[in-house]
Amino acid sequence: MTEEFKTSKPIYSQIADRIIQQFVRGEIRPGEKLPSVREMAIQSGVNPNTIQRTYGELERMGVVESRRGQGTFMTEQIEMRNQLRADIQRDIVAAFIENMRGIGLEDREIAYAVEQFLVKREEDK
Amino acid sequence: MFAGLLKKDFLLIKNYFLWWLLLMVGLYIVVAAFGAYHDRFYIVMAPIFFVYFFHAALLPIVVLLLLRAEEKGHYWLHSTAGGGKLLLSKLLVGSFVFIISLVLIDVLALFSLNVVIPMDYTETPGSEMPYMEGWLLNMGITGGALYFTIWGLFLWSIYHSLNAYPMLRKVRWLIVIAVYILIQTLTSKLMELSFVQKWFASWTVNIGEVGETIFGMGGMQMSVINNDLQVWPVLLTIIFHIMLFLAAAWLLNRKVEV
Amino acid sequence: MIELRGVTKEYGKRKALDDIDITFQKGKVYGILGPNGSGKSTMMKLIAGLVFPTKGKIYVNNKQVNRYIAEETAYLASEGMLYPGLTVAQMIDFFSSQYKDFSVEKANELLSFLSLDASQKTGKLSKGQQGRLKLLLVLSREAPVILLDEPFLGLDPMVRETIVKGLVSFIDFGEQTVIIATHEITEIEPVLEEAIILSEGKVQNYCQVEELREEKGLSVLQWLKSSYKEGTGR
Repeated sequence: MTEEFKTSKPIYSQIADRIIQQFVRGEIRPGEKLPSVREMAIQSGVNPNTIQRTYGELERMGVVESRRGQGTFMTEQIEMRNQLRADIQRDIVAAFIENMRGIGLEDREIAYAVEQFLVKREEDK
Repeated sequence: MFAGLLKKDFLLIKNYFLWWLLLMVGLYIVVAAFGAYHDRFYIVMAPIFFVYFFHAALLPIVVLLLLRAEEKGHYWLHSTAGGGKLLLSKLLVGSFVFIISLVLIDVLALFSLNVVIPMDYTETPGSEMPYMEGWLLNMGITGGALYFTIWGLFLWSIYHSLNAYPMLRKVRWLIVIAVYILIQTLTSKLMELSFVQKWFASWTVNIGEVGETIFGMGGMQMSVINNDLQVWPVLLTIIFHIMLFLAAAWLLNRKVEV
Repeated sequence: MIELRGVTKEYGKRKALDDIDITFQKGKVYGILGPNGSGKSTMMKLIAGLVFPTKGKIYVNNKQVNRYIAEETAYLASEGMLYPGLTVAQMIDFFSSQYKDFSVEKANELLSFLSLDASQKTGKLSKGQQGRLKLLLVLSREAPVILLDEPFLGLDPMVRETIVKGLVSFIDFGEQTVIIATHEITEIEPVLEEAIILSEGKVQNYCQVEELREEKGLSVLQWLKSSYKEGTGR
């Protein structure tokens, strides 16, 4: 599964985003061992140095920890997951608001649109 | 590393080689059967002689086939073996094919003569087996084959060295022929000089009763006068062709580009 | 490390490369990009010691390049390289006899990784299989320099992906210097660290792949296209 990468962001941070999302969705459990740099590089079809940087970045953020001679592990702190989820949520909402404002909607109208959308979907079920 | 080259070169020619041996034996059996049926078994000698003389071309053909296998992309030059080893491997594998083939035709010739001579078709004096003549024939053909092959290698290297000059590309063949003629002319002119002739006459070896023969090869020549063989021309011929081979190797190393 | 110092290569009046100065650092993965006839292939052959510069000098690991540099450079040629009459096993055998750094063990791993049949004649292989075999022969060498000239030429996307995975799995990153000349960059881009665009024998542009995304928000492909536009707009 060689994934496509977006052009606007460095590949290392796109892979970091992907790992965070998998963690938030529960696909990677807290404390789980991540693939080695090489395995991860092969899986993603990227240069191992890129993965090295991804892991370094995640470690700096406190999302993973590397244990000498054992590899890289997802953090065991559950709060971290909640915090990351909150971060992602904020990012998504921010991007959404940005788009809506881009087509000329007021904040009030945006909130109304979201409400309407959710109500409509509920009725359709 | 050299063993690897030999093995690869043999694999490149193996199939041609086997087909050629089969063809020779097959042809012989057909002609022999036809001759025997019509009570004229001696006709086998004609194709045998034809194939003998073809052997002078066999070695250069094999070596050129081996070189052709490298022409696409010339990846063989991406090697830690120098030009000398690369070409020597071709020459040795070619010689192996040549010798086996020559031995096979020798065996066929001996067998045929054993049948033909007692039948008194030939005019061999005393109906003896012509071993001496056979040796000379083998030597002569081998000499000729080596001569053509070494020249072939040298001219091939010149031809491919010219690849790097687009201006000369179209006239590459002409240049190759010109180089050949030039060297031939130079050497034969050199041979005619009187002091060279004197020098040649200064060292001779008596080789017994073989009559008087002079035969030339590419400006070089072997002269037997009054049963005396001139040694210098023989040595020079050998040295000259070794130099041609080394020149080919040098060109391959330094001038042939991919 | 590979250095080209003022390298010019002329074919008659045509300059295939024109006064090139480049240094390739040890252990990095480089892409050489550019249209056909831009000098990519000539540059690869010069480093491989198969073509000699008209002017300038080339050094691989501080040695001036000649034919014998083959000992330190594993070169994947865009054509030739395989003998159609030999089987895959015989090709591997031949390569291992020619290069001291050839690892038969690695060759066997690659054989199964690239799903090649050792008993098949190379002439009978499909184009994709031939491409994979060439990669096998080159990657089995533990050479300090790996040169790949158009490794994707004529191969379908599936095979290209396999080749990229082969590269990632079998290259010793940080130790082996890898130079890939190609104009199929989609698959290979995530493996490259730096890229160079050649145009008419000159270095037209240079980038570090990740910085390019970070600072300009461009992929190498987009950067290449915009460089072409600039180039033609001049």
